[in-house]
Amino acid sequence: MAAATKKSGMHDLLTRLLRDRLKGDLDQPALPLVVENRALSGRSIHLLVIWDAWRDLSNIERSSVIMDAHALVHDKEPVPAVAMGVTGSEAISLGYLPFRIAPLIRKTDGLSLAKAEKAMQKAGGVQVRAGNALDIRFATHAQATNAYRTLQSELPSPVWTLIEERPAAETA
Amino acid sequence: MPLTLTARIGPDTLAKLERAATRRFAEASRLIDDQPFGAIYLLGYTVEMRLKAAHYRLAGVSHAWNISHPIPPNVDSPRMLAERQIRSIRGAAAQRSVGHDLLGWAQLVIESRTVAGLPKLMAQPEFLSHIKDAALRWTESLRYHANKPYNEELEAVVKAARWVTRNYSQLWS
Repeated sequence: MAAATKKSGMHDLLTRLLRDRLKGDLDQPALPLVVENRALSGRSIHLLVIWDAWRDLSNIERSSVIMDAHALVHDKEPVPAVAMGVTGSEAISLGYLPFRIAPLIRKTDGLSLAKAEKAMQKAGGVQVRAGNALDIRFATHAQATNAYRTLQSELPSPVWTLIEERPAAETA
Repeated sequence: MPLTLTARIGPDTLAKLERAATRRFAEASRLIDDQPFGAIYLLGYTVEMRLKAAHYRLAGVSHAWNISHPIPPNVDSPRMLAERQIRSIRGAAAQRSVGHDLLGWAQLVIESRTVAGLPKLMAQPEFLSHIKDAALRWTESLRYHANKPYNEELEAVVKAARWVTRNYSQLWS
C-alpha cells in the first residue's frame, strides 16, 4: 500500500514538472528533452521525453505521465498516438540523441576543462561523461544550436564543436 | 540445373515474413539455454518480421506481393513507403537505414492502425514497452559480436518476442 502511494506521488510530481516543461519552448535544451514528431499522414503526434527523473518508473508508467501532462497543457488537441519515456542512457542506446556538443581544448586556448564544464552545466541537454571527457547530447538540431548559443555566451571561445552522429545500421 | 538457395528464396513477401518469423522463433527457442546470444540475435528478427508483417497487412499489401515493387498506382514500393513514414515518425533520430529500427516499425504499426481506421490497440502501452525492451538489447549488427548476455537481457528479449508472437493478430485486426 505504501509503495502504491509512493508511486502515485511520484507520478503526480513528474506530471506537474512535465506539464510545466510542455508549456515551454520544446526547441530549448532544458531537461527533460521533449521531441514531438508527426507522422507523414499528419494525423498524429508521437511524443518522446528524455528524462532521468523517471528512472525507477516502468515504461508504462512513464507513458502515463506523458499522457497526463500533455492533457493538462493541450486539452483541446488530439491525444498523442505514442508517448514514450526514456532515460538519458536509454536515449543514447536507442539513437535518440544524435547531436553532441563537446569542448575541444588545446593548450594554446588558455582554458581549463573545469571552466568549460561549468559552462556546460548551464547549457541543458543530457550530460555524458567518459573518463575525463564530458559532452552534452541533444535530440534535435534546434535544441543543440540553442545550447551552442548558451555556451558561446557563457564562454566565448572557438572550443565548442557541434557534431551530428548518425551511425549506419551496419557496422561491420 | 537446380537453382541455388539464394536464387530460390525469391522476393520478400508478407507471407514469407510471417512464415520466417515462425521459423526463426522456433530456432531461437532451441538456442535459449545453450546459446543465449544467438537466441537474442534470432529473436530480434522475429520481432522485426512480425512488426513489418503487421504493418503490411494494415497497409493492404497482399500475401504474395513483392514488397519491394510498387503497387499501382503508387510510384514507390510498400517497403519504401513504410521506411519513409518511419523516418518522419522518428524525426532527427532516424538512422540512415530504418529497416531494422524496431521502435520505428512499432510506431508505424500504431500509425497504420489509425490510417486504416482501426481503434487504438488495447495493449498499446504493453506493446511499446516490450518493443523498447527488445530495441535496447538487439541490433542486426549483433552478428559481428560474441558477447555473453546477462540473464536479464535474454529474458527481456524472450519476453518481447513471445509477446509479439502471441499477440501478432491483434496488431493488425
